Amino acid sequence: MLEVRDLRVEYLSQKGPVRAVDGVSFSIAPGEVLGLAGESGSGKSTIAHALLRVLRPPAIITGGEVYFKGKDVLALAEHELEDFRWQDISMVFQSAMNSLNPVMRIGDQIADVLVRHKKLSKRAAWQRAGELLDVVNIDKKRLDAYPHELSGGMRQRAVIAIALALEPPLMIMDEPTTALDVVVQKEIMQQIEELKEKMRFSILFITHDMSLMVEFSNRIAIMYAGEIVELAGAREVFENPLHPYTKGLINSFPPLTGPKRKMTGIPGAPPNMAEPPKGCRFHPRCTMCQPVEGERRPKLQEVLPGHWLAYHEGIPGVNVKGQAVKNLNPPGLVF
Amino acid sequence: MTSSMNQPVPTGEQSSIPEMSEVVLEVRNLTKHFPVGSFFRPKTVKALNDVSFTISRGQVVALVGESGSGKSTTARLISRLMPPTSGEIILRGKNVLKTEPVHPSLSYRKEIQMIFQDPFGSLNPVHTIGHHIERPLAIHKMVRPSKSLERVHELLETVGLTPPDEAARKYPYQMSGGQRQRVAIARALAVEPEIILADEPISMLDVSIRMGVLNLMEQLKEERGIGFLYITHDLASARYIGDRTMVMYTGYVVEAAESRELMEQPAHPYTQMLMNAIPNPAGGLLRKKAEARGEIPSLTDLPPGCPFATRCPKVLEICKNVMPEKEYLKQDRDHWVRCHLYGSGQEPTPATIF
Repeated sequence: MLEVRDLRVEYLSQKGPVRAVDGVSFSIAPGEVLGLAGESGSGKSTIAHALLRVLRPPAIITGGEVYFKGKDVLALAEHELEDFRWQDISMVFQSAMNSLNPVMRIGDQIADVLVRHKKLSKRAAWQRAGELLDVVNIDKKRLDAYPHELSGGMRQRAVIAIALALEPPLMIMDEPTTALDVVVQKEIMQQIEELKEKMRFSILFITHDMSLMVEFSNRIAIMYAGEIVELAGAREVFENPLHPYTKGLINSFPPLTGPKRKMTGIPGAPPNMAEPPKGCRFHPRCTMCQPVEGERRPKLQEVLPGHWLAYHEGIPGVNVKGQAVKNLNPPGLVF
Repeated sequence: MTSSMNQPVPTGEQSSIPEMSEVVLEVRNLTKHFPVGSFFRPKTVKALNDVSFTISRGQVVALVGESGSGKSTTARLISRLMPPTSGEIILRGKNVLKTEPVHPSLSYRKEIQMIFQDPFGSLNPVHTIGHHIERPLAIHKMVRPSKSLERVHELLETVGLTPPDEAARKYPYQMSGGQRQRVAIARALAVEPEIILADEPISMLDVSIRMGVLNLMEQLKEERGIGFLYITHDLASARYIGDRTMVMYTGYVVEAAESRELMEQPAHPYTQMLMNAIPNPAGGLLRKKAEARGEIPSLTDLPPGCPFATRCPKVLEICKNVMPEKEYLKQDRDHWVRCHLYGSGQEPTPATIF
């Protein structure tokens, strides 16, 4: 349904362009949840903004292709974008606090979308807004409330109601529950899951919480420094992570059960994207790094059915498709 | 680093092996109510109610709870950034609120240090890293001025900022979040405290560097016997680093026990709900039905009974009217709970959820 090929986004700065997203490709099937995991600054949110074409200078899309249901998104003109946004792809932003207008009633903010896109009358839109609040388990009476009168969880639900208003086939959720407590987070994630089953939309789910991501997504793409380094089914990523960064990321979440063991996290700090490391961008922090001739960048390739990994080709014993890689000693893979 | 290892310890104790049972800080019935509302309609926000616990030498006590449950208020009261409404703070047998009622003494401030959540807000942007660490050294007269720089370098090395002379010359903006948090830890260490209050020290850091900061805290606890109050909303990290965990809800500590005991056999319905709500890659979050809906009660008008009664799936009639007292479930693990489900002398029946 959504097809992204070799997407590149640069931020122009005085010191030269900063490539925030560098050659990212992925696709989302109808009804699928694709998780996009990575640290802050790895380019997750930039991708989300690029898909909706809401990037503002100094950020510019410098290359790649985005097709949504066969439509070339990057070629859409400004007036076509108005129909495309929200009708085709809607978005739930991280901080509901900041994405709701503090001086507008909740009802008006939902109705606004309906009046603008569906050309409903004010009254019909208000009626429909009430139904939408119902869908996300908020009392209809809250249509009259201002954002500050709602709790954090309710605000986030209201934002989801706005994103649902036009029943888009794809929703982008950028850290939808990061600012919330775990109990509220669970309620909201369950609700999203129910709605997804009922309304059959796809989700591009962005978060840095690996545990939540593994539970909620069908497939997961791991991003590091503007690139996808690994992409596979959610359970596969968790049970058989191949990239050292993915391993490190999973090793950064202490378990809730089992014996206590030392967790190491990942040494060093995320790179400065103005001057990303040459070759493999993870190499300064990598514990399995091996020198490769000519500082080449590893390429994303399918190493197991449905399991994509960025690694160096042509290393003896590595460039074997199928089972061989799964049982390979980790040092054999060269990143 | 040997100079700082020789902390002033009471006679008769070996400094190398932290004595777990030796209580350094004790908090008794700490309560904080904030007056709000207008002159004619005064109200109080009951931020903290009757909180008691101890921290021993080399012990990490984790305090978990949702936002607004009073975790940070606890730290602020102990650091004496604001006065409690009632209660006692006892440092090494000295009731500090009696002996120094208005302002905490220099020696108290030396023993209790704090690390804040936001490493971007807790360092002054116009001063170098070196300056941040020299200040407490000078104020508390920890070293002779001529040795000050040397000590700064030692401290920076301890927290893993190398090379230290380069780090000391940098300004906060030149450092990443994780590095800044290490500076904050070095600053707290400068005065060789007995207790460090760490208020969500990793929640604003990138995921991959969080473990580094936690491991550093653990190392300090083991090598120097520093006691930590580790405030967090993340139960997994509380289990990782906390010897003991206390769960807070609307200003009450509702359950406390050894960390593993607490998470493997949570007794309070709220703790059970929290444990169920944590995403677990082993699966189950979305399949398990949320038992409790509803909102946290407003702190300005808490119900007369248990504050969790409105959301509790196992609520009894008595819960709505009477606040439960502490009930010990296991003396040896010091596991207690504030819940009517566990009557006095009753055989403990905490649920094993895994």
